[in-house]
Amino acid sequence: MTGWSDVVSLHDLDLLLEEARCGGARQRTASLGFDLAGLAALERARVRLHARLDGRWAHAYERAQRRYGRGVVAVRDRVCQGCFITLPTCAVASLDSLAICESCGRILFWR
Amino acid sequence: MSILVGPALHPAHLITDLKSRSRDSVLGELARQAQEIGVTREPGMLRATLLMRERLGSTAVGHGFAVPNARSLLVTRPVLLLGRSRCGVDWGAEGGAPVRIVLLVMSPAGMSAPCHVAAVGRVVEAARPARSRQRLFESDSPGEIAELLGVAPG
Repeated sequence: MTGWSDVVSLHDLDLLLEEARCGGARQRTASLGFDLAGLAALERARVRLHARLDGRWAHAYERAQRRYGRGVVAVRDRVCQGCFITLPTCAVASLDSLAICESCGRILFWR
Repeated sequence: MSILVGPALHPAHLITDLKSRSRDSVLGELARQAQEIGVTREPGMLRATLLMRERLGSTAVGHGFAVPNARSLLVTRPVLLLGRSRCGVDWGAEGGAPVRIVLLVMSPAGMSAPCHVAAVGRVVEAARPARSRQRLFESDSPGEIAELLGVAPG
């Protein structure tokens, strides 16, 4: 079963990979003296982490990632921070389980 | 001059004597401090995210200081934590000197990659001169440290 921690870890790893691959950010990071030699190892770690997700959540993550650039989005005051729709009251019951925003399709992170 | 966009620093962001003696446990200590000041609710996962960053490459930048950093869903606002170690910590950089000053830069996931890297860059460049490093090691004033690093005082 997919837990929210795997999805959040995948999301944060994708943010890190974005920094390590993206031309300007990568150049700036290297110019500051940081070593970026572990990129290939991180890409392998992503493959392993992605393989741990249930098909449904992996699919939802990739679909939102392709469409919006982010697969997961935070919820603040019951508002999806991706599309800014107020989520229904019943959605709060799923604090410890995964849920998808019915408006935009991103995976919701409640903490 | 203070740069008011990016991480902020106030007294609770300063750990003057890190208890931990290894890189991994220092990151855990800083993540727990981040929980104390309300920046995260998941210090264990935040530590794992910081360790993932170390797998990309060591964040030790020489001269006895390291700038671990993360952009994460687990982080609620941009923040800078400073930890000092009297004994020094082996940060895993090849041939690197023990790290005595750790500057942890954290940004929420909504911040863009260039903005986060720019915030990290400002901290690295502000801390690099020998005189700045000396002040970072000696000063107990969050205001002075914030001024030195060009971040907003909390």
